[in-house]
Amino acid sequence: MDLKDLKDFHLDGIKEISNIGGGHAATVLSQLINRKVMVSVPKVHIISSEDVYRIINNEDEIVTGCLVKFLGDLTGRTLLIFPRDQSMLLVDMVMGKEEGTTTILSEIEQSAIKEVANIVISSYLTALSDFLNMLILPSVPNLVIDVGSAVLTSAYIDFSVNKDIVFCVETEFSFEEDSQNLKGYLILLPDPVSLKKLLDFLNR
Amino acid sequence: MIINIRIADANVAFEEDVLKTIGLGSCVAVTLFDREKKIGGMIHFMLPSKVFSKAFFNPYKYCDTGLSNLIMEMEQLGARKYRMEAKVVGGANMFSIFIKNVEESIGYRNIEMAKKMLRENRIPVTAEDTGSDYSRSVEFTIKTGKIKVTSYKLGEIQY
Repeated sequence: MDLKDLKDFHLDGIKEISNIGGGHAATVLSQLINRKVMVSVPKVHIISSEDVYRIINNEDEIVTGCLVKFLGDLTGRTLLIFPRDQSMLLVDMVMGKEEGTTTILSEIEQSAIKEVANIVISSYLTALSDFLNMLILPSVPNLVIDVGSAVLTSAYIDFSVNKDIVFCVETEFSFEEDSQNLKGYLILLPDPVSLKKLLDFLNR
Repeated sequence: MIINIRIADANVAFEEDVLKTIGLGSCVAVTLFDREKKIGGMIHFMLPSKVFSKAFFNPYKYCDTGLSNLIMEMEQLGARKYRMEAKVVGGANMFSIFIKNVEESIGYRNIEMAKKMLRENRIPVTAEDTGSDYSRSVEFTIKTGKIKVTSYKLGEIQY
């Protein structure tokens, strides 16, 4: 299948499917941290693999990235990225501490971040699974704390079959009360076979 | 002048310059240095060989095409291969929970390919900071020929 052959109709369909997942994920995240979470309209990126880091605005910053692989009728990976500062705020909220308490990410904080990622990504994938009526089985998350561009590039290049062009769907989370423009990204990276299944679903 | 090298890119620099690249995950940076002429070069490549790709756009994305190009460009500017020394940085296996066998990771294959090519070109590797599961950034000061490797995990190390 050639990514160039994708029509607007396909891209809109994929955005719509991802939007359902993003909505569920935002609701769950909002309940976890007890504040309003805004979710963006998903964006589809079809870009050269050397430019994949451009998807996020924090490519030179330290971020926390949780990668989850999924198997079943659909296969691929999901990556949840938060800037490091935002992750520490999330830890405070989830663990019921006063904001600003967490200043390092040791084992217990990392385990809290993994738990949040697990819940957010699972609800995203479950919504997709229900809507598409396809089986999706997520793995445990692999958390890395590192430079944004390295996390994104490695999450793509280490696993993907097609190493030339990246196809991914990106959903952005933002927190209503934050004026500093702190954001999180949920990135869906379907394998080429799964992308074809998604398109077949849309063509029905 | 500080010259930034992006992913899948390379550049050549002279005495007053600093070559810099950030976020080497599974990617690898190779620095080449002609001490006599004070000419330095750096490449930040993603994949070992162009056979990994169906399409072929950017030679600096791959070790095989990129490193040969860089050596050629440096020679055109007055450097000589027999005087060059190399340093290799990067090639981490970032998601080590999913890729248990390190030899299967792209990072490992990138390092192996870089070393193999340097061996074939008879360029000695004078320093190496590779592998493990964290990303690195490199600053190459041409005046001294030294590189500074920075990582979130270990801070700054000079080679």
